[in-house]
Amino acid sequence: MSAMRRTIAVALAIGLLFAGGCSRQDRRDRGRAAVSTPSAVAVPSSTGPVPSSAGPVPSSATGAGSGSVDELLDQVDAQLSGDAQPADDED
Amino acid sequence: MKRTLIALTLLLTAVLVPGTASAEPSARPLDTAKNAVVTRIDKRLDALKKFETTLAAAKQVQPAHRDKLAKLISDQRAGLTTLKTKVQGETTAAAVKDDAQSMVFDYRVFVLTGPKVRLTAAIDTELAVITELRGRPGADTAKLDTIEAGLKGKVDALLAVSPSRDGDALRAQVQPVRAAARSAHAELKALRKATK
Repeated sequence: MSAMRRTIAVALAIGLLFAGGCSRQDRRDRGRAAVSTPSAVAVPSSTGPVPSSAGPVPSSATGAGSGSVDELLDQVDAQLSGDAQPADDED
Repeated sequence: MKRTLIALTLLLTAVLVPGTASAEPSARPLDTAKNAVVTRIDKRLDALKKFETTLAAAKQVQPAHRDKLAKLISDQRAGLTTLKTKVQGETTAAAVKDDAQSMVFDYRVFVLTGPKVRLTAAIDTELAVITELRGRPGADTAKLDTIEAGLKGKVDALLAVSPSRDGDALRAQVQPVRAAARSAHAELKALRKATK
């Protein structure tokens, strides 16, 4: 009789350990999923380096027509440089 | 007795394991997908903020162009904010996928809106440079006329381009405007040296 009790206790312990292990694995999987891109949804993606979408504009720039040619060309330089930067996403 | 014990073990395993391993069966991938799309919408909202700063700093942008760009940025911000709320409330992966496609194809923030703002700023500033150079003694008027003709209508053409699914077609439409802006920039720099 005591042998049967022991066997039942062992079976229960194995069952609980197994269930505990599954639960831990489940939590681990959930943690991984939170930081990875989903596979269930096909999202068009192509992430590149972080860009500066706009170049700096000289603080000396004032109202229309008031900037010197040099300042204005510097502004164009900055605007075109910003345009040449890679985008956050290619789409 | 042994059979009873084996059956008991199997029963325990059957009851306990599914209860822990498959809790929240389909919610996790959906939530992850929603979070990924929301993150990408936020990237676009951040980019729109930067475009707004660029536009405000570009003092030479012509009023009609400025109005169009300001409206574009404002409309896209409103649309993407609404889309973000929609994504957060989705209950199926298919709906999230549709939202992700809308986020890209209906707005084209990076392929189109960014170049619209930056190239409009560049070209309108170049036109201001042409005006300045015309006022200098000994200005090469013929050359300035040619540069101006190369820029004529480019901003209006660029601002008329609408977002679409075909990203390559959009890039092909932006490219001549970009090339014209760069070419004019190089020529104006050369003319500046000549008139100094």
